[in-house]
Amino acid sequence: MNKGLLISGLGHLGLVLWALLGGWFTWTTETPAVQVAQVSLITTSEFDAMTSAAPKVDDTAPAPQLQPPATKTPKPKPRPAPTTPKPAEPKPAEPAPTPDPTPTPDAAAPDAPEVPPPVAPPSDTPQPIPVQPSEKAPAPGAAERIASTPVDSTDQPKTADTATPAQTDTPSPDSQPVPEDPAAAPEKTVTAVVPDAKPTEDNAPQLAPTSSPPPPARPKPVDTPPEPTKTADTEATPDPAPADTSAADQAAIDAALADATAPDTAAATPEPSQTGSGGTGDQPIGAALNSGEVDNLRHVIGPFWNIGSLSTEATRVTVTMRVQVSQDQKILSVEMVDFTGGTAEAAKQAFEAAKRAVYRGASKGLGLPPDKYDTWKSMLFTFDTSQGRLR
Amino acid sequence: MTLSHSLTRLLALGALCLGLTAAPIAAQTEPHITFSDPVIEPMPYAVPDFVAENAEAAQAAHDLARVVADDLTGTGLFREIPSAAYISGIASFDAPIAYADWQAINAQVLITGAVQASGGALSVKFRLFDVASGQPLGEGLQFNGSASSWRRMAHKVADAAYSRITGEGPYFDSRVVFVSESGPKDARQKRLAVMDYDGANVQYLTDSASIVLAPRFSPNGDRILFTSYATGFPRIYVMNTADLSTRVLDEQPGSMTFAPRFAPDGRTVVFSLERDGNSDIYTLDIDSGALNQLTNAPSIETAPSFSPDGSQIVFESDRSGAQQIYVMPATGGEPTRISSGKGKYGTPVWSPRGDLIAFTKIADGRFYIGVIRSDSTEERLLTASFMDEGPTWAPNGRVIMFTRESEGATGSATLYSVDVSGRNLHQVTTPGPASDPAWSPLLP
Repeated sequence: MNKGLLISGLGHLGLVLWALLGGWFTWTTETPAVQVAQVSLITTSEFDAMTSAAPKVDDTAPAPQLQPPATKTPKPKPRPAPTTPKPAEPKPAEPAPTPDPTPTPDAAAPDAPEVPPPVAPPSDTPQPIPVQPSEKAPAPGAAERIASTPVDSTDQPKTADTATPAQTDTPSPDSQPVPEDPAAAPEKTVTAVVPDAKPTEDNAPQLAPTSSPPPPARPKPVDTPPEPTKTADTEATPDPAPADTSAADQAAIDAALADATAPDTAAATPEPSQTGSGGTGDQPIGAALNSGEVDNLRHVIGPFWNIGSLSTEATRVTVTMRVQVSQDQKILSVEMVDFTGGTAEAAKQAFEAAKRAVYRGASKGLGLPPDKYDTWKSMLFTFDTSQGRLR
Repeated sequence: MTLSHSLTRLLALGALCLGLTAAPIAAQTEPHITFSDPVIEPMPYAVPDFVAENAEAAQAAHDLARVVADDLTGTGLFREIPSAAYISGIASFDAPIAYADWQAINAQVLITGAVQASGGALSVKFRLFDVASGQPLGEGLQFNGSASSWRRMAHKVADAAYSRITGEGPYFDSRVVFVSESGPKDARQKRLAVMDYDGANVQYLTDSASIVLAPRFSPNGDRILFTSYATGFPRIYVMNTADLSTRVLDEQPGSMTFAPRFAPDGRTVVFSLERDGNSDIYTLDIDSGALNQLTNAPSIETAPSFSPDGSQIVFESDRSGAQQIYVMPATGGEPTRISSGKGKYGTPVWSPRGDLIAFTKIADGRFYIGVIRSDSTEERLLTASFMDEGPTWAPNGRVIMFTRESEGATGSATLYSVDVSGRNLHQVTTPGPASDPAWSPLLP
């Protein structure tokens, strides 16, 4: 201990002395004088005379060729050519699809009473429905317009004593009600999942969409599928460049230094922000969370992160949020600091799903070490949906 | 060497030492934890009976809440918590929310509402709450309408809640036109009918005097195109939904017309026209009657469908020997084949979002409903059965409805819907056999 202290003291003393006195021996204030060379001028004729005495260059010698670089350059793979459909094959003259011109009346469904009523006949009573100003097209069945109006302030109190009354719209006289036929309107909608019917080889019907008459039989020329679609693995991928040994060495040195200076395991070191938008380097941070504590936090919050009710676009969004936590491990605030992979609207939905997970997970305690409050009082959470994407 | 230079070097050294000492502190940031394994399951929610603000509204308050719950649960994205599990109820619309009680039963979202009835008028207001964070989700909304339109008002409430939570566009307040079938399979009677998206409020638009096929709504829902065999041959008709008046769209002597569909502008119709045994795709300007031939091939081209921006048309053709899906400019031109898998492809329909094209596929004796991107990538099959065909998109492009025909002599057609993710396949109940659904735009 004393020996080390002595060495350190001597070293520092040496540094200080060098800083103070080193200049007496090495420091120079005079800028080096500009070296001047005497150059004699010659005329063009003298120059020609000099060059004519020099040996001539052999013009017949091959000019040096530009050599390709030694490293392998990936050949760009040709992209699949766009498919051009072949001209249509000659179609044999066949009779046109013949529909059944005389459908048999259905005794069970008498036609006369089935003369359809108007889908939604306009009502003669004024309808107090707010009308959206820009709408002009009637709905199918002359459906009435039902416009929405805000009920009241969005600041629904969290506490029990500040409820706000709802607003009531004034009736709109220009919208007509559409009476619905209760007899023809079964109110109960029954849905049931029905398993697929088992296919059989012998009774499988041919593709005959009801939207069009069945196509006549015709010769079957060779099917020409389109060129394979460009996929990620067909892209020309350049060979990885040879590793820069100096950079690799430097990285190894940096890693070794980081390991040596870290107070705990590598996982305990606070991770730098991946997005660049997070992180508060100016905040004092206490002891870092170790890997066990981080995994525990994942297990506390992760099971509550449900993206099953998100839009297809929102399921592609990765959001990063800053979570402020109180000393008793309650969530103080959650704010989105970054997102990638979608629109702001989709990110908002994804953020809310992630926020619900944080609150629900924290409702039973986050399980964070109390002695490291300075570390976890503010954290960055990134919710990456790439491994749970809806398809 | 001067004193100033010495001081300068000393200061530089000091700064260096300070920098080395401070560097480890500056490198430490907030803990940054990544979560990458989300759960995908329906979100539990609670929707207590709406508060009846007068005695007349009591029944409506209950019924409205039930339709809202049916709508949300029917998406497969939500799971309703039964009322028997409730710890506390909603005494009044403006009463404070006991979040702890709803958290205790694992509700993530709470929907509260109130109904007021007066004469033939109904007023419905509702709020959404994020139970976990103990905060309202957006603004509350209020709808006013006639008492007879209470189901539409319930759909509006459900649409608002669905869009607020999921971020998807609404689709509950919409209708579906379809072909209602009756009679034996070999002598099937068909007539047009329209219903709410969930099968309620069925109303018939035509009688069963002639076979009708392929109804299609106009972009604003004021007209319906369909194919009828009233003359003995397929011909396209257009019906005004306000008064149910019907007329032939276009008379082309010696030809048959079928598979119509509106362009996004509502003024142009694209369809197939068969003449001398050859079917090609045409467009017709409804106002001017101008006919424009888009394809000219000896093969069968049919089932055209516009892209939402009106710039392209997807259709099916057997020009390669088997039915496949092609995309061409809306003005005609060289088509590009986008289907490449094994089997035959037909009845393509472009999604309202423009991102996907739904289709029917037949391979190995089975029928499938699938989706594919217009650049022929990411083909996915959503359903499979003895016979699935004729997909139609919900207004928000998230749900597909189609016809499923059961096997055998006693088999019949029914309507099914499926989420574009391939989940939540379920039957849409209709009064009888039904086929050829076509979804309307969202109602105003």
